Amino acid sequence: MNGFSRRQQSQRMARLYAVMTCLLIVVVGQFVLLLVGVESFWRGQTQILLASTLASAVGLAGATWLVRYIIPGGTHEN
Amino acid sequence: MKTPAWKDDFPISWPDDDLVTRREFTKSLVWVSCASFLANAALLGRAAVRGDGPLPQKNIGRADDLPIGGARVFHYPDETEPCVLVRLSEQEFVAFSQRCTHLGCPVLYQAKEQRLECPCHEGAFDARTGAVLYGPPPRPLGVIALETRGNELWAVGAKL
Repeated sequence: MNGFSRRQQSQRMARLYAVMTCLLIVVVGQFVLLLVGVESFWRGQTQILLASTLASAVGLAGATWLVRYIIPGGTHEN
Repeated sequence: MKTPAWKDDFPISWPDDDLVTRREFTKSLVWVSCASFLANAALLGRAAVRGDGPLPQKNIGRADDLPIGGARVFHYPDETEPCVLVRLSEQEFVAFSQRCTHLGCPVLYQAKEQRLECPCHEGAFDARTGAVLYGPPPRPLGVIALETRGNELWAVGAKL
């Protein structure tokens, strides 16, 4: 099967689904942070807006780190 | 070799098909994450620019021109921001942003109930404080700071 054993293929798929699930959670969290940011923007609460932006940046960094696990030939690729 | 029956039902050439793989979908989530962050950052940048410098002071008319219980529309700090001036009593003047905090409809002063009502979705604000009384508005009206200089009313700041 494309040079991969069934066991290796299962591991790859499990890793893919795990990364996909984590990314979905991160994206949903960032949408919530965006809503918080919009509301604090309209209220003039700059500190909360800054906090939500920083948290969103952490989420983006985490998403960028996670995707490396599913790039062909990338980190932890068998 | 005889063609399998299912190929007659699904005569799609798989090499030519343009399906999105699970890997591509997962990678696209990173772009969505990036877009969310950029949107948040744009709001922060806009808030930072908005906070620069004090607001101008503007003469909005004579106090005697407005009867008790009356209201008048003016624009502050620029022509794109409609505001409403209300005379609650002989000496009591208040001013608020006229944009409803729900979806931006202009609010109207109701003297009998002493409140500012939004005709779009039946929201209402207290005429003394701008606080939400009922309806869908999520935030109080922006307050315009007023100064009385002799018989002239001046708008000198805002908490929009």
